[in-house]
Amino acid sequence: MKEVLKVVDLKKSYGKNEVLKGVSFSINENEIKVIIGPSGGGKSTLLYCINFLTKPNSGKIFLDGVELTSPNVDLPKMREKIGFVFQHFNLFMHLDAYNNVLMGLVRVKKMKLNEAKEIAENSLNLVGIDKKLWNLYPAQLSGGQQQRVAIARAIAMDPRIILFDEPTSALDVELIGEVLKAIKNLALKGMTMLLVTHEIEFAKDIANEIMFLDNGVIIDKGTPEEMILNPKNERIKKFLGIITKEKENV
Amino acid sequence: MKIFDFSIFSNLDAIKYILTGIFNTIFLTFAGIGIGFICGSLLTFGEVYLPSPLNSIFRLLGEIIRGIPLTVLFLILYLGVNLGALTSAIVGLGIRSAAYQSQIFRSSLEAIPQGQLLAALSIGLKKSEVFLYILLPQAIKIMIPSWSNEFITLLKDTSIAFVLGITEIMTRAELISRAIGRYFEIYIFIAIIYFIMVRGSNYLLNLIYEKNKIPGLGERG
Repeated sequence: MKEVLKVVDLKKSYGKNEVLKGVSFSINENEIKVIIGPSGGGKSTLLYCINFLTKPNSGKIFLDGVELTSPNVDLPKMREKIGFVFQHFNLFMHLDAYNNVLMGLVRVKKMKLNEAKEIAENSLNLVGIDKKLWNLYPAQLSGGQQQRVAIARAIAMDPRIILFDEPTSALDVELIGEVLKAIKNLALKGMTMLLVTHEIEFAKDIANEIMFLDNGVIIDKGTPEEMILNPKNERIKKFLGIITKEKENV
Repeated sequence: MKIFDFSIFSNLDAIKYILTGIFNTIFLTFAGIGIGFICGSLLTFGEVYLPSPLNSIFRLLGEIIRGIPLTVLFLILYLGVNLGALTSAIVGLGIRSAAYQSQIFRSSLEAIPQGQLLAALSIGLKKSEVFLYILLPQAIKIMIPSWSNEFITLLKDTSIAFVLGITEIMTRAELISRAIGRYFEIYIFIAIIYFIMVRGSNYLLNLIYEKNKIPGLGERG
């Protein structure tokens, strides 16, 4: 199996606050890994460091064997291969849904318009964005629709892996399902993915492996069965207890 | 003697003389806004993109210019630097407008949520492309209302070029009213002309705004 992403001893501090204290893991092609853990544990920082939206202090990151952390790497070229889906969607507000997806194809991949349009349309279809929404602007779309457009924007670039940073936590409860469904669709297509999420049920359903990140380190990892159904680690048990309680209160 | 004597408006030569000043007013407005646009962009670039402490020099420069009354600025250029009257007027209006336009540009750039820049980088755009395709188009749309205000302010402030003797509407009105001995009617007359020019500009700028605003934005709280 081909290794897509490899992270070795990644560290990141903000001033004296060490957010990542040496994180290592790797993801193979077609694999889906989910990171769970309490807020402030470093999950988002880890994702942001992987495509250098935040610069890590030390450690190594490899994409398809090419070192991203090397000083002479072509960063935009590497980021092109790493899709990123943000918690707050971050669509380009001055462009309609269609052009949000088209942007990277035309400006980064320098594709011919006809070719780019076909890919953009396929991507929007894949995430279930109906044709009548294509010419609406982000501010005219619901959160769930915006996030699905953001996913389409990421997959249109044909990335090697997509990173999801809590893709549903900014959404109203009734909109979460449509976004999870879109992600599930990608999983069925064999997309390699790394997700940070609090949707434990979804994680259990979709992940090949779940990693528990707390206090800047991966405390434990394993299959969903090991991690969710029979967690041995006390901190994971406690965390899952809290999450389940929150769900029941909703 | 009547309070308001309409008969002076039958002096068509005088009226024509004043109205011809509109060309100078419009010329000064566009020269000022144009120079202000170019220099204001440079100021903004310096303030936002140069490393400190260089950026603070640009910020300070803007603050100083905004702190000087236009009349004083004109006289510094005219009597101090010894520029010609017209040059002093154009340069004075231009650099003052630059100081205000740079603020408009900066706040428009800063109004764009940081997340969009991260998203743009994440799909592989270079920093310069992020500026060109994401920041700039949005900043332009965002700044139209405050830029319109600056345009209107500048249009009205061309009348201060009166102190330099530039023959725009204000100066011409002053000359005529002194010649015929009636001030009230003539100043009311040019007040109306300024009002019409302001309303007209507002109307056109608002059309541009409506045509360019981002659909849906700002409509939902």
